[in-house]
Amino acid sequence: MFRGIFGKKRFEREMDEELQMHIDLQTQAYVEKGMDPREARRRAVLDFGSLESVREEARRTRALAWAEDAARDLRIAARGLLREPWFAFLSVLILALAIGANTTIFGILNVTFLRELPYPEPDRIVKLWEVRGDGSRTDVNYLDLEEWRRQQDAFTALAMEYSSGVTLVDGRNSARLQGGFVTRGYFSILGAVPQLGRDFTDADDEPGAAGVAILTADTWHRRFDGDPSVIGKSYAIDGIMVEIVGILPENFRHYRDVDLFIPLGPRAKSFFFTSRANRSGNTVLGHLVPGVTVEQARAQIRAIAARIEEQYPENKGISADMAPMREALGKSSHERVLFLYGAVALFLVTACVNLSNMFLARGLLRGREMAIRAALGATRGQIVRQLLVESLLVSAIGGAVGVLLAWQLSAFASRLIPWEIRATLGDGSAFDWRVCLFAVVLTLAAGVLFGLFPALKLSHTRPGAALKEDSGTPGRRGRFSGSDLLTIVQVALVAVLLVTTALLLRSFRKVLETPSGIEAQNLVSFQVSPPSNEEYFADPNAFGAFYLNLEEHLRQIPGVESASFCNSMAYTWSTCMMQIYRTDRPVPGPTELSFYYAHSAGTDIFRTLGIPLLKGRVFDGSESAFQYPGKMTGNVKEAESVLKNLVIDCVVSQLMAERFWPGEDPIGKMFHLGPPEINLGTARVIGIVGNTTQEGAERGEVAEFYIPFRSLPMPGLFHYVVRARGDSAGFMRLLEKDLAEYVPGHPVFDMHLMEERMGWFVADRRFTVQLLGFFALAALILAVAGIYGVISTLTARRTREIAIRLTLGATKREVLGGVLWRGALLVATGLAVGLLCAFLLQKFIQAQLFGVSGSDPVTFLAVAVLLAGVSLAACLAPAWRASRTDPMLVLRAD
Amino acid sequence: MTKEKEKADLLQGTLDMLILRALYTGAMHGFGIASRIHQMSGEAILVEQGSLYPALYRLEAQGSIRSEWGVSENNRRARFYSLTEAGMRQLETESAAWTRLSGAINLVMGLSTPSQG
Repeated sequence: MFRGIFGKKRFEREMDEELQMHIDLQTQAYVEKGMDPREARRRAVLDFGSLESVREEARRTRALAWAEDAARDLRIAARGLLREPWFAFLSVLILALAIGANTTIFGILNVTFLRELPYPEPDRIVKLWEVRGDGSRTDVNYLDLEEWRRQQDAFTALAMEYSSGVTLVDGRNSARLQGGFVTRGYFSILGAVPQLGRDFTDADDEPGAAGVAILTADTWHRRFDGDPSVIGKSYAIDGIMVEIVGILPENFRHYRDVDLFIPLGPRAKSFFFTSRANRSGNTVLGHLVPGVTVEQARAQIRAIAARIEEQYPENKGISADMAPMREALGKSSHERVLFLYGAVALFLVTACVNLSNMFLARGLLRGREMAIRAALGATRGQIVRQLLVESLLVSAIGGAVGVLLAWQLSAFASRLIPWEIRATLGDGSAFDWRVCLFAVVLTLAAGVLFGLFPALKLSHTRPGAALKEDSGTPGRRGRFSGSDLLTIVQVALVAVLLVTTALLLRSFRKVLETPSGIEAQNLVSFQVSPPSNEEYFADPNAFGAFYLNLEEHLRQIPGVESASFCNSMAYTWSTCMMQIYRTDRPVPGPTELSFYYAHSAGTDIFRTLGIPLLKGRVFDGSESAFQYPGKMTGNVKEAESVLKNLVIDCVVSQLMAERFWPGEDPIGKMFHLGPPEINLGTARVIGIVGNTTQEGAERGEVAEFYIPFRSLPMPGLFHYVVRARGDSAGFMRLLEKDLAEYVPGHPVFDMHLMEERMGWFVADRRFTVQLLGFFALAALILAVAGIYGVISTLTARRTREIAIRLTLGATKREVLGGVLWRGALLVATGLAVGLLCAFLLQKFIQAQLFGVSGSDPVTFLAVAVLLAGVSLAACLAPAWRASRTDPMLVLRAD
Repeated sequence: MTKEKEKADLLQGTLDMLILRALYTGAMHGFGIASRIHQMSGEAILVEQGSLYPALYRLEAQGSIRSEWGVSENNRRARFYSLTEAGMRQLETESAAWTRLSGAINLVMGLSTPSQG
């Protein structure tokens, strides 16, 4: 069959040679009869007739023969499978699951590693970041970026994007939107040209420029009904009038959910981007000049960074790095996607091995059929082909169902796609031609893989032997070695899958059991659109009142036990890191500073979150209130001259106490807020509280400190947190309604139960465990079924031998033991191989684990016991049946 | 099945049988097979090359014959055909069928002659 497909050229060549030979021989024959050689040749050619028509006829015959054979084989295969619908159904189901899972995960692999991002010239877009002295990654400083942009020539454009929620006020309605603040040239990098209106100009990005905005097509349709006259209209965004100047194309998909874009330049100051120390929350992209490689661009930016480092002490140790955009966006998920892929691929191999075994067992039962066919003149090749067509038919149906399954699953599984890449996909799923091609290749490969072994094995059947032999005759020893091998392989594969799943399950439990340090029950948190930063600069003293009044108001609402607020809240992905140093020690150098989690919190934060006080005291509202003489001009020196004299009461976590003051009592100790070059004031420790995890158990407990908001109010988004009494769902509705009345113009958003938020942080792990658990269980069932099949077939074929042994005085126990021993041998061998493989693979698995070692002996032992137990149970039924054999009945039957 | 198809089948079947019969004595190349049939039939049947080679390829695809490249009597590379086990069996059944058929024809023809009546 394969020659039929692949050997076409060779066939033609050989045919021509053969036909030419025929003519030559005919010529020779005529010459021998005494004909003139020329005449002989002419006659021979004439005899032959049209060479081309012979060729044509031969080609047609050959193709027809192939098609007829294929059709016949397919008919026989279909008939054979229909005769055993359960066998067919089971095989198709197993394959559909395996191919479906592989196709689904490959779809994720495809968008994570292979598919280009949906921007023109995607291979020229790179993501850039800065690197600290200790090698850790950090976002790019705004001023550094300006320096890079001025000095580089490797990029056609280099720009920053900073995502931040904004409040848009339109008449009396206000809405919370996601704003993308971008520097000049940002859209040229992503190749987005507004479908209506204009792009931002360089002038729009200058400080003091008039406010402008560009809407995404989605926002335009959703918020403005797709009305083109929105261009030129102005709206208040965070208190500043902004004119809509453009609409992005319908098919443009930003890699983060953004509703509208605004130039960053005019707002840089209010985002504190004009400080050399600020490196937070932004993305920097560049578009390479044609012909420039990433390496060349990297060398150039690093050279510039080195020059900046010499110029500014704040940049001590700061360097830069970059990577192609897709690679950078997907990086965090690479390991997990590959790991999952490995797991489902393992399941596919297990399924193929199982099917191989099923087909082999079925073939052995059909030994007579094979023998008859061989006796009727079928060559070995024909029988192999016939059996292969059968397995390919099963795999084709299984593959088709599998692809349908994968298509259904793709929405469900899309959560495995790195989120920024997922955003660029829009509604388009991870499905494309590559995925389909993969599924087809996989289906064919699976069909050949599980079909070839039994086909080759069965085609050895000797017609004479098989026809004479009946089911009672003991089979030759070698007959089962194929099945045995398959069973061993299967048990080994399942052992690897089970160990991996068990380790992941244990990790998951460890994650769930790790205390967060926060009492999450009945805890609701939400955000409120804040007053604009400009209000803060205008009157920093009055500014804090908005937040403090709201805290007080929340406390008065019926059903509220306690309420407070904080700028950085656990499990909200909002963290605030601050460099600090002890004032009772020499001022550290820039590279010796370390970051700690800083919270600017309301008075009742500890009681509300349920964080226990361990020593000293917590805030009671008597902390010094912030006093700033007059307006804040934004002049850093001026502000510092006021702030540096502040002494603020603060509370630290136990972990910070241990790290920052090892072996000392921190109460009463002072530390400086911010790096030495910035004077934000001094903190004095008044108490020590319990540790918390801020970003899930896997990141662990963090060293953190809390300063009272009232002593140092800062602008920006704060998270409010309320501990409710009783029914939280009803309470949340009530809360929303109350706040809409209390702070109109400040939309409330992101309201969720803390337990729900914590669930998000374990959702990926939960999903992975469920996915793997499902496949491990399926593989275990397949393996058990495989063992059962092999042992039953074995005992069925040895009924006569067993009967004779029983008549010769063997006890039932001995027969039982004999069969079990055989099963145990298979399982033990497979188990040993599998556990060894799992042990060798642990380095690959370890990255996915938490709180448990990849070679955890308890897990290995548990898997061994489980697998051995169920496997032996699978052997028990056929063994028991064998021991119940009535020798007289069996022997008389002959 | 159409009339033509039936007819073609009959002719094809006959040629197939002749080829198998020719190969019964040993491996042969295409020209040799044609010559042998010519010779066996007392020079009555001349197999057209236009049917011979397609038939050979078809029989090979069916597994009745196999081919191998070897060296011909005039020292050239030539494709030699030989019977497979299946071909052998096919020849036996077809010969038997043919014998029966020709016997039946003879019988019918014989019955119809006045001298026998």
